[in-house]
Amino acid sequence: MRLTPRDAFSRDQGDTPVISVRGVHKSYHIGEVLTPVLNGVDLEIARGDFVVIFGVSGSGKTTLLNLIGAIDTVDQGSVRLDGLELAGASRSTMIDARRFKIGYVFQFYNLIPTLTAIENVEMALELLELEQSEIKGRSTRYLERVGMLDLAHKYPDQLSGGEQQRVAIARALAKEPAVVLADEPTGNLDEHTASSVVGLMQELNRATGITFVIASHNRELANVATRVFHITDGRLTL
Amino acid sequence: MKMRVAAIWFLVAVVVFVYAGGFMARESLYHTRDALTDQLSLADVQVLFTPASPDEMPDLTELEKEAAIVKRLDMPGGMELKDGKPLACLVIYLDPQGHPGVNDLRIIEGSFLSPEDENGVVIEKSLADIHGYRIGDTISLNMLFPMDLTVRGIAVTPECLVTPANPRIPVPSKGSLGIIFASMRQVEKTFGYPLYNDLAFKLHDPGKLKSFQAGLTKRLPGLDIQQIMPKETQFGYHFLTRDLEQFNIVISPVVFIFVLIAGIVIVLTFSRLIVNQKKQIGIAMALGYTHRAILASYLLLAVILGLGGALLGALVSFEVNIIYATIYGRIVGLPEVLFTVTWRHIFSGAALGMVLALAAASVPLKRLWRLSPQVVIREESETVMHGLLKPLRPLEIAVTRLAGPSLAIRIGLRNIFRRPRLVLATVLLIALAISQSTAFLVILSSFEHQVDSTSSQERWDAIVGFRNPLEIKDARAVAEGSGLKNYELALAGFARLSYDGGYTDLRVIGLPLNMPYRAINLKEGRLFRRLDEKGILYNNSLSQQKFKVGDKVTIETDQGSFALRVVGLIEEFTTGQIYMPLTTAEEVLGLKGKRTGFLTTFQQDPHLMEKRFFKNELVEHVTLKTDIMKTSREIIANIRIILNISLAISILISLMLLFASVTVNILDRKLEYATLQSLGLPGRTLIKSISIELACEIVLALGLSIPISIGLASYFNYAMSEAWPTITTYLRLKDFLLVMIPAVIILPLAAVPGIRTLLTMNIAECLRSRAFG
Repeated sequence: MRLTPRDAFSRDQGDTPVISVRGVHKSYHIGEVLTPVLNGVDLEIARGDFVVIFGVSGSGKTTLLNLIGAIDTVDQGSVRLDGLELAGASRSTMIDARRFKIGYVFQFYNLIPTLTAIENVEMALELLELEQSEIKGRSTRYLERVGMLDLAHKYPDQLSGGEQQRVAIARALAKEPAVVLADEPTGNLDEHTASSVVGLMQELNRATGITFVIASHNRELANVATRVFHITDGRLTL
Repeated sequence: MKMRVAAIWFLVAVVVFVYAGGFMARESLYHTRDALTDQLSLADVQVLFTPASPDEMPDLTELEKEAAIVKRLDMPGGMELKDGKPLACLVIYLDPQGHPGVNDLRIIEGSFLSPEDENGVVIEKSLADIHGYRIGDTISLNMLFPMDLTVRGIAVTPECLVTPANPRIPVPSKGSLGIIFASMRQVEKTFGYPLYNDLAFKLHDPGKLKSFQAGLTKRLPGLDIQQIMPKETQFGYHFLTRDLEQFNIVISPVVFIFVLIAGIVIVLTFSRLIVNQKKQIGIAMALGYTHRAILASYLLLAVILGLGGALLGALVSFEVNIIYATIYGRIVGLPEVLFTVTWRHIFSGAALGMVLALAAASVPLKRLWRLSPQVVIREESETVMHGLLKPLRPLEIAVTRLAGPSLAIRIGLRNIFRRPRLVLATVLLIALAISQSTAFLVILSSFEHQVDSTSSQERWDAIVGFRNPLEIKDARAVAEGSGLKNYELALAGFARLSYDGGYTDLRVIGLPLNMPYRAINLKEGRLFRRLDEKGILYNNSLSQQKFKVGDKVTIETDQGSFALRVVGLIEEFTTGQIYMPLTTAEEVLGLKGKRTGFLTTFQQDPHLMEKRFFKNELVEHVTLKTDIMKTSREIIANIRIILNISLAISILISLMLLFASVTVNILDRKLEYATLQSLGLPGRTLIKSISIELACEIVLALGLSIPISIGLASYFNYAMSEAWPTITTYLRLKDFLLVMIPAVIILPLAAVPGIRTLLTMNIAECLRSRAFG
């Protein structure tokens, strides 16, 4: 069943967790070997939470985020995102979930190199079938919010790493999704810039009430997170 | 990366196999000529003289110590073909005891002459191939008297390695002369003794040819020598050599076109490959690798690809050699082709391919050296041209606005404007692939159009030739006896044109000052001013010997030597003839007050008129205008076949290039498409945006391919003008559409594998591979 924009922007306002992960298993083929990455992960995240998931490289943080973000599919278990079951969902449902319910911030920013900062934000909004005036308004607003309005017409290769990550955050937030998933958002930044990006995400979480789920090594995030999880050997612990 | 590497390897192979294969084919054809003439003992020198009986023949004992000698009698005559039409023929009488030691016959069907079978003959194979004669058929000859002979054998002779043509007719078409080998017993039966007018010599020591030839006249006392013919001037050898030279002239620009296109595409492809690896290069620079080390690694890649391509190309070149040589050999009439391998061409082709690969690697690297490692790492390959993007912005905005609300169209169009380098490279690749094939079609059309329009300029409907020169009043009677009112009496004959270093036997045509029926295509100089002017019009194209206006020449006939001057240079597709003013021609040919035929126009059906002309016994041959077209097409058939083969090869290459460039272009941006899909871009929007982008590139490429095709075709025609009549580049919409329409159909299909990969790829995995793009 396809989501309509109306469905997309409706939020379950009750106590229902915005993210619910139950008994999730996921394995990958690395060469000829089938390697289990997640071994029965359970997780519930409430609306408005600022959640950080720690784990060493290869522990499965990114995999978990990809499953929640409808970028990948589970082998076993359930993943519910804002009331929408992703496990076993059709391709079109997954696309709609990515479009309307999720904002993704990548470690390497993944801005479209041939679009300016503002155009990168607008690109995400164009997928929501909004009016042009709304698109322009939101992109300006969120770029301003991340402190990048002055550099709105720069291309990604004309921006520093921190600036690119701010644009990526604006792109994720402008959609006003149910959840922003950030995979190592400060992994490529120096300490000072990383700190400012962390502060920005925290401030936005408080201001907008959008749930943030962040996979990271950055211990500073533990100080600002509302909940902290550790992932070890494919299992999640508090 | 893999596809680009494969494309470069394949293109290097193309350079090698076209270069080596094309030139090896040339060598194979020359080798075939030399080997066959050797195997069949083509005479090193032939002496033609007035017929002599055995008593009149000089003692050849001394000469036999230096050369193998065969005595023959050559008699021109006529025969009636199976359809009743006359055909000029040459009957060569041989000793039937056994195969001749010089100018041997290779019997391909039936048997050689037999002493017991006086009426049995062996025919040269074109009488079988073109006129359908088989073993056991009867040939009605018209020599001194009519006689019926029986075909006992069909043979290949070194004197006719190309299909013989009758030089006496205005447009000598292939198969217009029959060669028949008969038993000397017939001559003995008629005259009581054999007669000879032809001595063929094959030297034991070919190194002594010059001195041998120089002394022949003295060593053959008593003979009324008409002509001493070294091998090179022998009809079959001469025209075969000319056909092979045509191949040589054509193959060079053909190879050049392929090498040029492949070379440009190699540079473009290698450029893209290195540009896509900028981050790795930047990181290597940042880690401290020297420019030299990085350059060495890519040059090593170029060397490996060059070697690999050279190996594949060398292997395929044998096949290309076979294809070109076999098909061309068949067209010119060679009985077989003996292939040769010239390693120097393979090595040169391989070296050329490797040099192209090395140059292709160096070009993009040279730019990167000027940048710091940090800039190299950070710089996005497409947005380095920010300066260029600015002027395009207003156009982009206008075009995108026209596109309306469709997101897919906006994405597609935006990609065109925001990736000028990639778009340019893709458009150029597609344009080159299309124009390579279109150019060959344009060249073919240009040749055909030129031949057709040149032929159609002739204002006569038929040229009629008499068996013997007639007095003017008798000639008129023949013309008017056929019911003609509009005709022009004609004079033609044979002469030798001597120049420093050699001579050529040519047909001489006398021209009146007023020419209502002929079209002379004057290229330089002027036409004749007086009927007795001592001048000639000469055709440099298709002639080995070139002259300038004003050059002096010597014309020799049995009337003597005549000093004439070249007053004009003309162009025509008929070779081996010159024009003189009518009165001068009468003097040179010794035919004062006589004519050898006439040109005419008529309204009736040409074939009916042809039959009417032949009813008169004095008529030997009739050339219809339609025959001219056919013969002219035969003349360019050699070139057409090379171009057709080249077209087939180019289509194959084009298909591979189209598929590779489109697929690679799409997969190059996998990460970007993965990002868009992670943002929620639907599959159908993705397909549509790629299709829009591809459609724009196709339109741009089609447009660009037009001037490229015209340029390539014009270059080829210019290159050919060194040895051919000038060919004007002739453009037909059909030639462009024949390539463009299939390209427009194929290109979207070429996008299917790439699009399928994008839709089915694991987005997470692709996004994870961000670090090295």
